Amino acid sequence: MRRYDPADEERIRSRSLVREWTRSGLLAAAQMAHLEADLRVDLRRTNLFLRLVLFLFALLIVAASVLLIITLSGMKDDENIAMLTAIASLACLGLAEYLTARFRLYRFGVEEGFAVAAVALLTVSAVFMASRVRNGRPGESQVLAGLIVAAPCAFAIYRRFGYIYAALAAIVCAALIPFHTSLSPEMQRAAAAGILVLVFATARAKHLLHGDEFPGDEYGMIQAAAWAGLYFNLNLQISFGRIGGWFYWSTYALIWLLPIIGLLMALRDRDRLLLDVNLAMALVTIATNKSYLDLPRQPWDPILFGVFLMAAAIMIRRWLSKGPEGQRYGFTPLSLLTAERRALAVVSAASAIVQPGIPAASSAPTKPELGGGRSGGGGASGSF
Amino acid sequence: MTILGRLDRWKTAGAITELQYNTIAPLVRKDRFSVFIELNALLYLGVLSFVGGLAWVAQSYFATLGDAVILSALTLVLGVSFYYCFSKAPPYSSGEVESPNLAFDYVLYLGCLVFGIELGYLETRFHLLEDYWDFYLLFSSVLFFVLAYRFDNRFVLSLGLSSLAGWFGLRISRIGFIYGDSLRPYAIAYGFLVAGAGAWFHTRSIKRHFTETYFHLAASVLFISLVSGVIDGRRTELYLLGLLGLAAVSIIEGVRFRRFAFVVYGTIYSYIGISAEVLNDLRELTPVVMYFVISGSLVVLAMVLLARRFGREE
Repeated sequence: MRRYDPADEERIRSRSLVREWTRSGLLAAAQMAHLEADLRVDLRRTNLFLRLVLFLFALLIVAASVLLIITLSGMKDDENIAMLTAIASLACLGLAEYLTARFRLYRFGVEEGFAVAAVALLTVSAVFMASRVRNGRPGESQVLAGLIVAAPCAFAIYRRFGYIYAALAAIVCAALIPFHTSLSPEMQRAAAAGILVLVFATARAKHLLHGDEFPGDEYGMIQAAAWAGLYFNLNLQISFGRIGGWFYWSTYALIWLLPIIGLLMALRDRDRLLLDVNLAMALVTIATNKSYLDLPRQPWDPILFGVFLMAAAIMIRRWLSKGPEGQRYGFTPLSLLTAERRALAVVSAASAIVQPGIPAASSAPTKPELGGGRSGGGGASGSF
Repeated sequence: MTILGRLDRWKTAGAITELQYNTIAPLVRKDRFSVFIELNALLYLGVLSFVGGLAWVAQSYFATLGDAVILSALTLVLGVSFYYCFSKAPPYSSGEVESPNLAFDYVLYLGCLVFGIELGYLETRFHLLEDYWDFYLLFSSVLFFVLAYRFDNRFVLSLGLSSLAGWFGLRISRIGFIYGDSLRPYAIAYGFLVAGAGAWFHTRSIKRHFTETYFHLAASVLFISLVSGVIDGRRTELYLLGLLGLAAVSIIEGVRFRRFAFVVYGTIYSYIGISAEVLNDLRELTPVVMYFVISGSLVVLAMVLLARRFGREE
């Protein structure tokens, strides 16, 4: 099923690790060259940035080409457009296959663009086909048809080429299907939760089987995404659910339970992605708690929340540092690889666009105007 | 073969030493697991939340609590933060300096953000500079730059850069083509100033690890300004010429220094600019989509050649 040899995929991942160890000073540059010779693969790759450009422009070419055929042929009938996009989808898939087979492209961008375009075009085809069906709310059957086609197709692309984002798109599409049916809002949420639990359980079983090495790393990502999706679906404050009664309070209980269960699993398995997802979930639970309970928000809430986060971080660091060799149960607050510091450098540079703003005036009758805030200054430009 | 299996084989073959094996294998087995990123994330979010709350309290309760209480509280937080940083900081070095502890960078960041709030509060309540209030931003940015270099803090550097942008009248946190005709020259001046400052510090080997932050910000602001000039400016040709020149520099230097993000900037922004200019006169859909097919193919071809020649490495 997979287009690439699993041994090549393993070598590519090992190669990335060797480079990371070298950057982190654990291996010498000469050793890296020697080890990389052992990990050589016959695949053509490029860096992330060029891959991104190639991906975007491949999508642009496909979209423009299909539109060109439609305009040149004067096609207006939904059925014909559906047929054309289905044929174009097959052509794109064929191109993606050809490029990977002929030129041995691996995450090169162009072949990815064609593979993703194949899914998008088949989805568009399904939407146009379903436009003949007239029931329910306008457009509902088209969206449903699109999701029903997109979910398995995106998953098939993941299985064939290994694009993890295709698997994530498949999960999102599958989870959205119940929301476009005539089920009650409670049942829609429950059905979506059922789909996500199924995905999570399947991916987790495979992740535990394979560990962090290929293909276990991919299952780890799918598992974390399904878990995050489950939480998002159940937290009615962030997913705009207007449901009351027992279901509402069940979701309230679950948004506390899920991060706890997830954190326990993540800490036991030392699964970073799952750990980060559950930490984020826990923070969102605390942040949305008052909204859930319909309690008024107070201006000092963010202060308490901030103090809690800072105190938690400092206490955990101290506790870990005071353990033997500066660690406890294998957990250390120290940076072990440069990838961690690089990630931090990116966040700190990007913080230029995420400066804390000042909330809009709520009860300030004599509020003077400053003529609008500007960026930076840590809020110095805002108005009180 | 698993990575542990490979490590075993490399050790046996003598490709790595016993010591290296004993350092790397526990990382692979996760016998040692770092929570460095997670702790940093908690501290960063904690600081943002805390400062946001301080501002909200000041805004909501200045009438009830009174200026003295609010200013005293802000000054206390500010004083404690800066005292902590100055008392714990290692000596200045023009190279990269390791923070004395995990919280250090965030304490400084907190102090700087509180300083910004306090200045904003003072001006709002007492109108000290009135029409010249934006000089607070200039003053803040100068202070933030000094502190960023003294304590080697990228968060504060970003704060300084965004405060300086504020003084120029720009809003970095907004994404899109936001610069109107009146603001565009200031945005371009800001972009060149930031790029020039980054290059100046780099050539003098002062905190070279900051250089990319300067260049990314400068490139983003310059490209957005020039593209917005091409799309809705009055002197389109001039802006297009500038855009193409900047794109050429960005792509060439990006390839030269293997910083491919700049290749992306140059390619995408110049494509948008050229497309805006070409499509401006086209009214029919067919030539428009034909343009995208042909131009898109040319870009893909160029990028494939570039990737094969220079961008092979992951």
